[in-house]
Amino acid sequence: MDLQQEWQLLQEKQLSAPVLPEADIRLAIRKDSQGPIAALQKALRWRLFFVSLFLFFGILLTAYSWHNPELRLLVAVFDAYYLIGLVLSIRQLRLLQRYASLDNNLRLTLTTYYRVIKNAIRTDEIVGLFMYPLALVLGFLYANVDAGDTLIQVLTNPRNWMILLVMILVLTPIFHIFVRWANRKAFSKYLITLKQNIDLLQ
Amino acid sequence: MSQEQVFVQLVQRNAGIIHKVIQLYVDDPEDRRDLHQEVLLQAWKSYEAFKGDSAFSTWLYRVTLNTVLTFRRRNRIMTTELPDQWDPPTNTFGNSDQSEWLLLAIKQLNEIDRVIVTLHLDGYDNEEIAGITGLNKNTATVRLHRAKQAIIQKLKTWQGVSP
Repeated sequence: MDLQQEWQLLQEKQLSAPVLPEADIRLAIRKDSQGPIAALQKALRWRLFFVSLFLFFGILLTAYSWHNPELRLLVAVFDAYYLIGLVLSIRQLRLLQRYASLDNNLRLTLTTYYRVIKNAIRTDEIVGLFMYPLALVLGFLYANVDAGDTLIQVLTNPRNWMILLVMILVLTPIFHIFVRWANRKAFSKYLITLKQNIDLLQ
Repeated sequence: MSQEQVFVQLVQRNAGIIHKVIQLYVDDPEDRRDLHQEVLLQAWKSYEAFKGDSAFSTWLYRVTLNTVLTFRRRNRIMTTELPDQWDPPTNTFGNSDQSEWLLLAIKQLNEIDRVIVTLHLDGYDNEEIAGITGLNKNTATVRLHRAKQAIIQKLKTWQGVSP
């Protein structure tokens, strides 16, 4: 059998393209991407939104608690943490935009996608591990100090420690498991296929 | 003529490449539609970086393959779905059916061998195939030889079970 000849026949019979209207092309190039990098960028923009929101509250709290040095200290920790989160998230978003190009060779493209997506998921899981629980802990301390206790009083009260411990031990794993589950559901099969194809290109 | 107008004309002239690659990799009609739009979008996004070092058709082939193989599809074609002793689609092994069987045999290859074989059948030489896939030339040559043998073997087996 002449494969080349059969391929030509196949192209004529089954693989020949219908006319592609100009309007369809113009419409397609104005749509949002549905690719995996675009999905990650969307998730990252949500994270950026929450980090910015927390930071905004942090700035409001800074102004509100200016009279109390202990509250100022708590809010400063809070602000610094979310400021770092903001910078890292913006940096990650830029990196994703830089690596989104699809006109390199196949091996380089698959490897880059695999690395970028895996890193983004790992970062997301680490951030998820600290971002929400830290907000809760600092919020709890702030509420108590704002109610009239000193920070030392709050931190030396065993009841408060119990509450903080429960918050950390219960909520942190819940947030972490949820983030991992969501990422696994979204990307696990996809990453396995990418890895298989990368291995085939070695 | 605007850059967009030039792009539209070039894509219209080479639309067969996008259509063909998607047909070879995707069975789900919804995935096909999504991927078609995604390829056009990614090609447009990358078009600014296209310097004309290769023919537009080669560049579009590369973007299409990259987009298809990095897209999160709902249903991937299962390369092991059809057994070796599988009944061919028709009762006669006439010339008109062989090309259809060729398509099925290609779809049974793994995704990377499918790239190599289709590029070869479309007239790209081993050096160009190596350039598009990122394999070195020798590896591409060996992989192509093996993949072609696998296709021929498959077609012979199917021919054997045909009445």
